[in-house]
Amino acid sequence: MKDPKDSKVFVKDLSVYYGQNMALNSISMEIPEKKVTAFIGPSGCGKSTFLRTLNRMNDLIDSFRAEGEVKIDGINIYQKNIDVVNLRKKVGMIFQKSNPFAKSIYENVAYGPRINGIGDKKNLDEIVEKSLKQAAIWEEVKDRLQSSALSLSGGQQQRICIARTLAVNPDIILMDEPASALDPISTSKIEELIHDLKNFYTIIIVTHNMQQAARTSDLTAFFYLGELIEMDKTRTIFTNPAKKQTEDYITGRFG
Amino acid sequence: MNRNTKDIIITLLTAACVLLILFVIIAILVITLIGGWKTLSWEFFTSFPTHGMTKGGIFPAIVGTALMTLVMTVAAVPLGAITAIYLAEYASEKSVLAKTIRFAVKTLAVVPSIIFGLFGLGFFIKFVGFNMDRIFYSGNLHWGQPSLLWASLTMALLTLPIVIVSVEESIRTVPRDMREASLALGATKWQTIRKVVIPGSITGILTGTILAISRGAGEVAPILFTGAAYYLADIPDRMSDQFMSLGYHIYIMSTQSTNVDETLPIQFATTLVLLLLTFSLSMVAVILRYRIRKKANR
Amino acid sequence: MQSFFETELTKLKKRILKMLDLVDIQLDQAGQSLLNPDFELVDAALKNENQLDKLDIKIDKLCQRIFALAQPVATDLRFIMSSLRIGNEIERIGDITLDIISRSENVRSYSDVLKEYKINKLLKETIKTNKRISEAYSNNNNLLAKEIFDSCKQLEETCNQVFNEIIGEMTKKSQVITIATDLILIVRNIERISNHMENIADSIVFVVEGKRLKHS
Repeated sequence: MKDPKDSKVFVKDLSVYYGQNMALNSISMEIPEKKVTAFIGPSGCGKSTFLRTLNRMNDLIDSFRAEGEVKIDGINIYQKNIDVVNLRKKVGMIFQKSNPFAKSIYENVAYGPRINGIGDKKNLDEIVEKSLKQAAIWEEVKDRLQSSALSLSGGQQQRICIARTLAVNPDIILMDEPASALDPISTSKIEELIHDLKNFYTIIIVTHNMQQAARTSDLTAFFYLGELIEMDKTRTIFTNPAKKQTEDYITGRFG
Repeated sequence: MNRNTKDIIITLLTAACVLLILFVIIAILVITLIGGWKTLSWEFFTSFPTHGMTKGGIFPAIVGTALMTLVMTVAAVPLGAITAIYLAEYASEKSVLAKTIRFAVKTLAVVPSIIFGLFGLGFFIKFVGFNMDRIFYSGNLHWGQPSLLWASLTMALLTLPIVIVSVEESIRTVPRDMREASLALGATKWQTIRKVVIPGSITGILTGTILAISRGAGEVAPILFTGAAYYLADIPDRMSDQFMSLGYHIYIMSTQSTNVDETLPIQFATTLVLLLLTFSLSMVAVILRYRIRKKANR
Repeated sequence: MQSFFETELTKLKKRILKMLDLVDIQLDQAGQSLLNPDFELVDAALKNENQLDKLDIKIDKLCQRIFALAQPVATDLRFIMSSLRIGNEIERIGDITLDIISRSENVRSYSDVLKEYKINKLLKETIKTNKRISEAYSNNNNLLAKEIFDSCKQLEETCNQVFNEIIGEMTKKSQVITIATDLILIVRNIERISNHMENIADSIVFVVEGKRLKHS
């Protein structure tokens, strides 16, 4: 059994409530560094809620309450004096529907560095180029950096959002169904990108598309009704899962 | 009757309404134009009224309106914008403060403009001004009388609800996921407002503000007892001076001038100037909105 | 009301069971061909063999289709993979059985020799095992499959023993060499049949447990 300090994210008995409703029931798991971990499960099972606890985006909801520990690099992010703003620099997020700002491509990617105080043009130019290259979209947009990000296609917009997140240099990237609104070709570009990015970042992805989880992830966690049912290497989950519930879900025999 | 007939009838009714409105607008413009265009001239804009308002120009009224509008804007817009930002971004739906503010705004918005005038008189002049005079001017009458400052502040109260409502509405049009994107990048709430929300709603903010201003520029009742004057020999050079105003000028000339018939051309011309003023303010709003939108979509 | 996918899985199962039935007939005929001197069943056996081949190809195609269209996972995946394997193994068994039948012409007259080495008994064992395989496959019965696995190993041991005995005889009495050659080949065939059945049993266990008996 690995020392909990080795895993990038260590969750112990995390329970999440919205008012009186329990959305997550005593989740415990370890997420290793620089691998892709996928969360699967039917709608409403809590996988997105759990994802959002990792960068405290759930704080935006008034009735949200969390109990238990979520340790990132050994520090519990729900303890009293945590700087949430800093946390979100370290733990970036890509959303289901791409949400670039109504600004130019350049300004979108430079947004993060700018709010962190980097104003030097040469510096920003470098960061923007590096991030767009990492997001595999540099060649497509390098001649139109000043044009509006909203003029791009859905798949391109999503990659801009990825570049934007990369520009703040996070450790962990959370992806909430990043390709669900995209066509197959864009989807496969995003999946390729995930494959390349995992060499540098820890990636956690929520998806309702099981084949996507199977294709892209190293580990898979199956959630159902707010509970973590099973978590294991992806190849094990998809060839020989331990729990019948997992088997029923992935073979489509649910309900 | 069948659906097609219904469609046609509705279309015709709508067209008729539009035509009616257009007709009214055009009628007003045409009547004013016919009555007043001969009087328009460079002298008209730059000289004072003479011979008991029957001749001369409306220069002081133009300046007075401009100054009052300026002070009103400076007072109303920042306060209104900040209140709107608070209501849209910071206040929780349940907070008592937010509910109170909204209620106040709604109520203010329907108060008849003359009431504002009375309030201005009773509060700003008779209370604040009077007490300022007691404290700073040892009882001498200085602030306790109608002035540019009090009239502008009174007018600011009238336009405040409009500014708040239109700014809040435009802020709310910025989609939630853009805010989330900003926060997820490690921005603070204020950074998000400053760099994403406000730029994203700037067209709405500007349009709403300009419309509020143009409303204020034309109102007469609130400035009746708080600062507008019938005739002044000079333009105001300090906040405690009184001022002339286009709207008030028209009112005075049509009801209290020495010779109503002789002043008729001037009335028309002044009305025309006021219309042009409000119209150009609206045009500025439209053009601004167009240019900002173009810039954002390039 | 079954889903399209479930229907395909049922179809696959039925085809494998049909193959096992055909092999059952084939093995039975092999036994008969060894006993009965007037036996002329090679044609029928060839027809059977043809059918087995065709079924094997059909099963291949069916599995391909299911893989491509349904992206099966977990138990479904293991079931289809195993069925594909089992189909191949059964086809080999069919081949080997055909070989026994064609060779039986030469040895069937030597009934006392056949009796001495209990060749028919060995063959009957495989028939019995084949029936048990049908049952284990049909019901996903991994415990039964493990029993089959062990009994196959035993049969192979026995075949080996018989094989050695016959070799021994060949070295002692050279006049028995012609028949002995056919005999040892028949015994070897039975051993190979048992080996293939062992593989089938192994695959059945894999469907249920996700791991193989062999190399474990």
